[in-house]
Amino acid sequence: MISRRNLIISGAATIAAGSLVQSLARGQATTSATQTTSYIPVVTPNGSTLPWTMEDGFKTFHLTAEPVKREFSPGMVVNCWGYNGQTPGPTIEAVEGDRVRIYVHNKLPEPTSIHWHGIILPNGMDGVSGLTQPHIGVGETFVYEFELKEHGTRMYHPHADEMLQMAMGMQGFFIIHPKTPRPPEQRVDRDFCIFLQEWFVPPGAATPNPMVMTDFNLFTFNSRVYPGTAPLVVRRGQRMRIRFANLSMDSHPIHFHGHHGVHTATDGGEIPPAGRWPVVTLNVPPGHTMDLEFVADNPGDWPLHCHKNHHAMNAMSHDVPNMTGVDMSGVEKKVSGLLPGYMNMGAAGMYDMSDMKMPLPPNTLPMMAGDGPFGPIGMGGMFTIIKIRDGIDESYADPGWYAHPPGSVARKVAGPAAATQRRIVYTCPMHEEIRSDKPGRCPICKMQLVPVK
Amino acid sequence: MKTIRLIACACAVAASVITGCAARPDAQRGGFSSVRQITHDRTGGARIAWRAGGPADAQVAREVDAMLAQPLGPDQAVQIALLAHPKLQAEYEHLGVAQADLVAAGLLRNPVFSAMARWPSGGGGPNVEIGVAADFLDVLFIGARKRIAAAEFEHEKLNVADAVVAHAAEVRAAFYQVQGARQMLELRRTVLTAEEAATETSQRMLAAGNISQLDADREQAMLEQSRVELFDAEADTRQKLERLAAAMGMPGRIERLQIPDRLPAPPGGDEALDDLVDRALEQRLDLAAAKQEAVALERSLGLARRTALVNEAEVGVSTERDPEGGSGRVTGPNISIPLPIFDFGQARVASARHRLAESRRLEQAMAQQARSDVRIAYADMTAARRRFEHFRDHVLPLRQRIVQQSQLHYNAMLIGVFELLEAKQNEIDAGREYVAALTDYWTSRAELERAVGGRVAATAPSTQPTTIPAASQPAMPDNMHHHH
Repeated sequence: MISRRNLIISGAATIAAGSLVQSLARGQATTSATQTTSYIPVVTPNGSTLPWTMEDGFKTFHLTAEPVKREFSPGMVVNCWGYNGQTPGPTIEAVEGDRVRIYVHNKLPEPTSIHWHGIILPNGMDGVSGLTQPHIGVGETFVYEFELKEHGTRMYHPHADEMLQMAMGMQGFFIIHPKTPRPPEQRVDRDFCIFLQEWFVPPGAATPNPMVMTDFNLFTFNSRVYPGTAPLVVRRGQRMRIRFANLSMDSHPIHFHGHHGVHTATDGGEIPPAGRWPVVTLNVPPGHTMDLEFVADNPGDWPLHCHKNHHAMNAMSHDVPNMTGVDMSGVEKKVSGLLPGYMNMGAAGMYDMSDMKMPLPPNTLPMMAGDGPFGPIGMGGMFTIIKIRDGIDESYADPGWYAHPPGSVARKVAGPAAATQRRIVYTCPMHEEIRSDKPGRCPICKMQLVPVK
Repeated sequence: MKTIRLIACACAVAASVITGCAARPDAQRGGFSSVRQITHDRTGGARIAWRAGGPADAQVAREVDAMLAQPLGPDQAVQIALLAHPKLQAEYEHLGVAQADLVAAGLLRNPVFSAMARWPSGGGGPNVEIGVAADFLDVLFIGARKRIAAAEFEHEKLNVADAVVAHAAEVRAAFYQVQGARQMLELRRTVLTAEEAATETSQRMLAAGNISQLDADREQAMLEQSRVELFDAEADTRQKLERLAAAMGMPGRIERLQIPDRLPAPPGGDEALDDLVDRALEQRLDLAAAKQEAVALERSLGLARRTALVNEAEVGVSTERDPEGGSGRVTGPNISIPLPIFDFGQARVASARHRLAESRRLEQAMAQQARSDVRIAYADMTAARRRFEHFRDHVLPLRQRIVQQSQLHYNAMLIGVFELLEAKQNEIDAGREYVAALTDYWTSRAELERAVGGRVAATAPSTQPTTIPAASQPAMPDNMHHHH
């Protein structure tokens, strides 16, 4: 006898199959609104989450590997390679225990494959071109099917001509939520994904040079540089998590302000609570994912940035003559007689670069940029802002700049305060009448002078 | 008494056959005004003046002074040269010589008066013989002689005119050389400014401890090398200026010459080669002079033929008082004619015939040379034109763009000030090559005018001259403020 349960399931399957046919035809699946999600979905700043459909019990995703144009920040567009028109590719999000089916269509000019970094699966689904599968040829579509046997932050990336394809921006997150959610007091309320990458784009040009090994000039969060990086908006009191993934050639020590955090997981699994490392700077080496958690209890606008100092700047040359501390008075006039647009730069440091709006080569970003409520911020590269406020609603819209409570902002004072000027006076232990403002010996008995208490 | 009447009669006879009036060598007359007319258009409208020592000389000197007080163009330089240069004045005097020769050709030979007194050895009164004789063939040939002299006078006029036109072209070429040298000098000075800025920057960097003495010395070495090149350019300019002053007839007065520092913008196109060759053959004065010489020699040949056998014959009258004779005086005519026995003029005719043939051959050779001259000068001019056009239309705009882009890269701190200055120097160097090509163009154009024997027309007006070096940089935004 056909039970109601069977009818509903088969009906759902028919509906799902129907919509699958439609979605296959359109090439873009719709998120299945009928599935209830038991997890807080991750936010990929400046990115997106890959929609899925249910297809005979498999959570089904579609990825197209193709060249994409990516705006790193307004004023610079880069010729990258990615998935579904984006770099990083859209975040795949699923639940431990799901069976996933991922169609991969190759529109690149060369063969590719996808490796599911850190995921336990049958060898043949590992995605290593030539070793575990034939490569996905140009114009071909392959399918991967496997069951998710664990949870955590994982990645997906090519495993054919990897050096070039990853240098061109082919990477994405694979987030697997736990089957059993955490107890409420430990539940993460805001969950972010940030993919770290390094590039060399010749200034004035638009294509990354994949052969560069160490001398990169652009450093990105989710293939964006500051001031093009979207802020992380969090309600005060929320437990937030930032999942970092790194497929670049260098480690990135990611630093955050105003809070102490904990390193809670790697792409090998959760770190037991006793083993969690307290950090204000979390190092993310190449090939790793790292999860960082803290409670956002300190309101304000807090930077989140790589602490390798050059990585928080946009492209600059390292061969420019060092003008630091050079007196250029009078020389500027001589040069600007020949070159009317010329101005001395760098003689008093580079702070001026953040303020001046000088004309630049086409498709080139200023080395230091970004304006804040108190003036130019002068950063670039791997830099973004965590905005923690009361009263943030579910839209998590950008709340603007933090309104500081009165008296809590560093302020200028007029002249050196008398209290800060402490003159040290020296005297002789034997002869109190002797006073000197330098250390030395007493003129009477030749004893060492000591400071007056 | 009778004797004296006899002499007077002979003189009258002689005087009556004198045809043509003797022309006084007057600077305003005859030959010089033809020369003035012939040279006028060929020198681009310049006037010539023969300073023959009269009150007009002071006027000419004042005119030259007035011109020197103004900035000079090539036309003015030519004008001053034609008025002031002693070489041309020498040519004009030569014209005077030819003019006098023409007059001389129209004069009959003077009759000869002879008188003799002999005392007989035995004593007694003297034997006095008086006679008057004249060459009567003279009268027959005077017309031919005058025609020959006229042809030679024409020949001389054309020679003088040719010297004037040639000198004008020489002055023009020297003028352009000066302008080219000055423009080069200006560019060299700009290059030096760029290098001085670079060196001074490196000196400041050394003082701040940012570079080594070795790096600073390397920068300085390049500067000092450039300084030497500047000295050379200054010397070259001075030399060219002295040459121009010499061609203008005023050596040692170069300070008075106000010459614009830039070469003029070249015309859009030049006359075609075939037209120029045709014009050269038509209007070159040395070819015309050669033709005229042939005419004179042809007339000489004609005269030589006519006078081959007999070219002089004397006729006269003489009287003698003979104390021996009965009547006491004998009077009568006499005639003497050389007999063409050995010399019947064959050598003279042959010589005249060969002279004529020679001049005709020379004329042909000169015509060929003229064609060659035009073709060679035209090739030079066209090559120079191609060069400067390429620099103006391709190389310089590229260099300017490189400077602009370098400025943008400098703004982004992607290159330093040394690279930026180097980009500027490369632009200026391209500018120098442009100026060199432009100088070659104008100089070879003057040479072409010499070859054509007159001015060369432009077939298209000049386009906007390129600013060298370009100062087109991106404008500074209004919210610029200095932090220094």
